[in-house]
Amino acid sequence: MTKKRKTLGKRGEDVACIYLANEGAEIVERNWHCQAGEADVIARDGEDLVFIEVKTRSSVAAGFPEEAVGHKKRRRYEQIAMEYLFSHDLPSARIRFDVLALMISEKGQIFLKHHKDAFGVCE
Amino acid sequence: MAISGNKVGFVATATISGVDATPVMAEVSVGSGLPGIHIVGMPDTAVQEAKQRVRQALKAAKFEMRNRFVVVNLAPASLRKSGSGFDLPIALAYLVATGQINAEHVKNRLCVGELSLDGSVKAVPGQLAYERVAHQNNWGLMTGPAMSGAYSNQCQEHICLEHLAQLRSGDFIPPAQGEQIPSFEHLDFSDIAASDLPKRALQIAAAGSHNLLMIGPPGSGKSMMASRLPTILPHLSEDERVESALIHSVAGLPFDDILEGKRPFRAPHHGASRAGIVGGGNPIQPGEVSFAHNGVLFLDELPEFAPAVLQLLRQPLEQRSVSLARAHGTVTFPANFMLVAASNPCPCGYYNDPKRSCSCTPTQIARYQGRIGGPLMDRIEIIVDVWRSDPGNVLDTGKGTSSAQLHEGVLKAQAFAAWRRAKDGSKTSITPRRNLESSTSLSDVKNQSDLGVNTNGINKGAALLAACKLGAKERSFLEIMAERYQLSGRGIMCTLSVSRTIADMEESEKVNKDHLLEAVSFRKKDLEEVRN
Repeated sequence: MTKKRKTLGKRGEDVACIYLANEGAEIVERNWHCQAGEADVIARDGEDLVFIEVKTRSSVAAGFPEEAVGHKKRRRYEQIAMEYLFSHDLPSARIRFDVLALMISEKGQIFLKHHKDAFGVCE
Repeated sequence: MAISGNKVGFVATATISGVDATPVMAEVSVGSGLPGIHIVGMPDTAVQEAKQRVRQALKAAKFEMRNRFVVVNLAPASLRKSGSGFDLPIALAYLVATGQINAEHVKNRLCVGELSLDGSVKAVPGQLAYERVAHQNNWGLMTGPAMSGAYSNQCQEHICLEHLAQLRSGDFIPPAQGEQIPSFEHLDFSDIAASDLPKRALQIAAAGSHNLLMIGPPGSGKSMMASRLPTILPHLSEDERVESALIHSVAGLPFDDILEGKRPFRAPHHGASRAGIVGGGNPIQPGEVSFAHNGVLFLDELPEFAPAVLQLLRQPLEQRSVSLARAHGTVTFPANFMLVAASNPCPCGYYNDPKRSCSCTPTQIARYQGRIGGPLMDRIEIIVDVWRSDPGNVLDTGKGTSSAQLHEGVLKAQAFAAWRRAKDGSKTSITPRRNLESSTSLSDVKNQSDLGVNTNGINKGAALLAACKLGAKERSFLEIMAERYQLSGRGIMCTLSVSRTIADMEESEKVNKDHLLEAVSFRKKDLEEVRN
């Protein structure tokens, strides 16, 4: 991964956290690691425990950012969520998966789309 | 709300196996955990796919459908479920569980329907079977828009849901009364001039529900006559209508004509597969023998059917039902049909034709006729030759004996037979064969002896003999005939049963010599064997 792409991703996650906090969500974890992988942001939105995948792009040449969250990534998020619930002893939490798609242009303009409840398991 | 915090909704529905619907309870539990819908209770692929349809349909109808941990259980869990009819009950149970609709809407109602992605509800095949089970359980019925069937009058209530959004208002509509499309087929026996003997044979067959085989050269009018057979058949009784319509309903075939009393007439092509004839597939669907229940199965070009397919007919012809054994259970479909077949006498078609010579070798002819097989031939009570008409007769079309005349004769025989049975019924207990069938899924249909008016073809043994009231003279005559033409045991019984029908047509309580003679003459096969 090039340094440029890493910075873009980091910047996207920062923006996402500011946005989520504005929306009233409480950020619980950032870049939470486990065996199954990494969750970009974990937040609490009312009763829901939300796992958020932040996808940042600098252009739409390769498609919209949210399109990149495919089947494999969803499966991984489900496993991450399971791990998180076990490690924090929260077996009956209400889980939600969100996707935050960000487009940051070269001029620094930011376009954001929040897909709430983007996917569930067994689909 | 339960202690666990899970909310549960229940909706009654049913699944179809054979021609019966078995009640199933759709249970939906909504709780916390990893979001997703899980369907358990032996669902097939169509049921599994309900997840996506239900989700989108609920969203389209502006109900809240959030990703939650949803478990759908279809109880009893050990019963295999199939079909798309579970979409509606699952959606309703979800709405009840999440408190989005009033549970009163689904209380004591059997719900079945397929959902479209825009939230509209569609009817699924087997409407009559669902009506039946709802009626038996004293439930109402909620389905997609469909025509009302035979039971809807008896059903506590039958409501149609066109769109899920109607659940909010609770404004339901009763099912639309189907438009009666008069199916006028201008077929009439008067189209066929002369040919009085085959017409007479068809009339006897129709009156007594006897199996019949027409043998004749190409162009002699075999198919033409068979296609006119429905015009002289007696109408279906009330119970027969329900039985036959049920089978058609389960397979998603139209059954308006049947509810009007028209007997089914099935004419499968000779390329038919085994499953197509007796039923099969997964889930098991009825075959042609069951679609022809209470009606006619017409097999044109009989020797062209695969021998294996023809031999499958033997069991249903005897038992009047067909049992299909599969790994996950046995399904019994009723199959009380009258077999009408047509065949050429040989591959070229002109064997025995007085005007044209046959070009087949004796071996060819024997092989051709042998394809039908002795056991099946033995079950055919009436065998009749059909000859090509003279040109003059062909041009006389429209002047032959008409359907109305023949139909009258059939009805007369039927009425007389009913009277005769009612008179003797108590002491001789003539029962149509199917009354003995306890395994038939329709065994709960009562009073079959009342409706089995035209069932001489299935009278058996002693009862038949008693019904014929043979005098000593007739008895010895029959013995001589049997001796002379080497009639088999079944051959004698067939002869008796046909002669009983002929006597009924003449409103004679006793079977006399003339009746016997005519009946024997229809056992052509036996006669020919003797001649050769």
